[in-house]
Amino acid sequence: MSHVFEAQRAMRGRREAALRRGVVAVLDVGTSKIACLILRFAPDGDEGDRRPTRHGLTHGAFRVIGAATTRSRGVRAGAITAMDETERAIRTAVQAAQKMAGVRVDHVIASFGGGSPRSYGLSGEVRVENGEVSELDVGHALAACDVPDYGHGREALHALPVNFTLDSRTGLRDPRGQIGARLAVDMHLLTVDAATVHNLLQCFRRCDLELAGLTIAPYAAGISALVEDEQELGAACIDIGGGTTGISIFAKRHMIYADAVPMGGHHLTSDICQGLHMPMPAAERIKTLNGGVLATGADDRDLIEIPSAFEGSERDRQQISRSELIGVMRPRMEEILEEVRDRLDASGFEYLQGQRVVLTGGSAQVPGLEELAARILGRQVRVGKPLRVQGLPQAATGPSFAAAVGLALHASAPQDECWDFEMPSDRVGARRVRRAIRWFRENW
Amino acid sequence: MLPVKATRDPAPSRLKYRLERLWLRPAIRISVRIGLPLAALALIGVAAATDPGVRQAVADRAQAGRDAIAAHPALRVDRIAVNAVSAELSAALAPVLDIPLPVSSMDLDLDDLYDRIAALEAVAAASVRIESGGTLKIQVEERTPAVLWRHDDGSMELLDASGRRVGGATGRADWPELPLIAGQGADRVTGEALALLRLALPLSDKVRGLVRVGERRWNLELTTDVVVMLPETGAQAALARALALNDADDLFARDISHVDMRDGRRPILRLKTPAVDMMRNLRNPEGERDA
Repeated sequence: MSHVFEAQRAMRGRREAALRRGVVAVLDVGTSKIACLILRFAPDGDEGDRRPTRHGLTHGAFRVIGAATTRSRGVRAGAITAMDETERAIRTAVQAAQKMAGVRVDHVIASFGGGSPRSYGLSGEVRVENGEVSELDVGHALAACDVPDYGHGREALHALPVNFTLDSRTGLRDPRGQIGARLAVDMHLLTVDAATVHNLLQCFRRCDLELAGLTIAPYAAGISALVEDEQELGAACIDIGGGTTGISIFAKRHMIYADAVPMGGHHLTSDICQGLHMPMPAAERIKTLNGGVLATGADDRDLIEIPSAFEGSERDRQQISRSELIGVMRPRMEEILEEVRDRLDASGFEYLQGQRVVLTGGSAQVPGLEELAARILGRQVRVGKPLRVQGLPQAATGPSFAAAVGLALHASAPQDECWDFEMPSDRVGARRVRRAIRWFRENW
Repeated sequence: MLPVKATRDPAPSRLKYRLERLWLRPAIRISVRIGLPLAALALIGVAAATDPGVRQAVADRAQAGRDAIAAHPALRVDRIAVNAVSAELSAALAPVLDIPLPVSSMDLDLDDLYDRIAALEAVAAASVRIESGGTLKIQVEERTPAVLWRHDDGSMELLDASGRRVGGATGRADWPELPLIAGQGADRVTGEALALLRLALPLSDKVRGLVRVGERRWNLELTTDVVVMLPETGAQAALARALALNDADDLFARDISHVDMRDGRRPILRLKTPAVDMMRNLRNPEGERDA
């Protein structure tokens, strides 16, 4: 796990450099769109005294100065399939955002939807050395977690210490400075496909951008779409995107579970396209303008005109009723939600205090989805819009920008990760010494 | 069916993307927006300044403008007025004042003219100025020769009272009224020499001149071949004393060659050879020769 530590620490270093420079871009690489926001930290004047500290800035000390969205290309189910196309799409988004902001960005914090994330709950226990828990003890406890064999082609993306137990007291947020004998930690380890991450990295490198942070989209969406009470008491954020539906469960302000279902809005579109015989752009348009999942009596009389595949000939104009459209969309949406329900059940979501479900993402805007989801998931459901942040354009305040806004919040107030603590020296010592020797040899 | 014309890719090309990002660097932006025009201006300026044709034209224009101003009648000088001076000085001034008239006062270098006039030996002080009405007025104060200084090789110079050279002299006969001094370093103490000569005025017809000895003291030489040797200090008192002796005893008419006044206590006389013989005879009437 050591090389992961190194990579993540390098990323953290870049993130801090970016915060010190004050300008950073966040980029949500989704299946259907790529959104780019450029943030300026500690804007001149009113908040000038808020300097970046070790753990970044406090919530809201940034301002969005550039925003751009472009259609995603070369991405399927949240993973890059055509590097060139994706690179072009990223360039388009970044350039447009830079043009709006008028500044150049070098550091980018990114999120992606795919990579089939998998969560592991780990726990480790150590004896406290000096009676008082120090940062080193926390590091020891984190290092004592027995890491499962998560497979060769996978990479650890997050390792969040979510809960500390000191002797018999559990639920501690920060055990440092407390007196105790045995320190136990519960850690949430999230792994994703290494190939997906490496492709994304390569893509940014080709755009001359440096990656200063990487998360998965459901995590970012959860940060922005869940209100504080929900994060504290426990809630699930379901980010229904274009190609994937991400699930993230929060409790005690920590993400404790994340998963993704490789189905999303694009499947609805292709169902309409096939079932009702119309071209893809038309299907997308009709889904967006007239779509729904709950049929009423009025929908039978609501006729929708379908543009023909053979343009120009007036004779074969087609009309469908809205209930037909709903009849196509609903089974697919039910399928997605049932899949989500299975994943939630598998995660042990029912044991949390609060069990609210928040739907977000582009496809969460389908009318009637709330009721359908409540019926299928059996829980309180609401559609969540992202938090309001300074300077965000009106066009970017909808649920489909939850991941991008959440990424911005995450950049300004990142959570402690496992690698933010000092590793015990017996794990990395030899490496450190070797690095020091190499440095001396190179520089003297 | 393939589209006839491929739809244009909305994405920026990699080159365009890089250029755009380069353009967003403040340093590049400033250097292109301000530095480049400045560099172009500087280049044009340098090219114009180094072109000989342009330089010539600029110089010609400047000269023409200056000439136009210089040609104004108020600046014209058409007369040179010199105050009355001796013929020698006039002759010496003539090449200096050889200025083609009329001339514009802008073309006249008065400082240079003043320097050249003041550099003349016979000029003690000068003033050069342009007066209204186009007159170049030159006031010259002449040096007056006070003594004639003879060198060891026989050449002579005229000196004024302060010892400054006034001019050369060809012979003693040209300046019969001037006293004569000789010897090295005599020009530095002309004042003392003149004082001595003034003192010796009663026997002026008999004075041949003063000789500076060893650059420290004077000898007064008389036409009767008597030499009055004066001390370094108190030369005037010594001379007065010698003159008093002369008045009393007609000393200088006697058969002596030197009157040595250097010893302040008493004058010492050096007799000529016949006088020595006579003295010896007077002391020894028998004509004995001392053994």
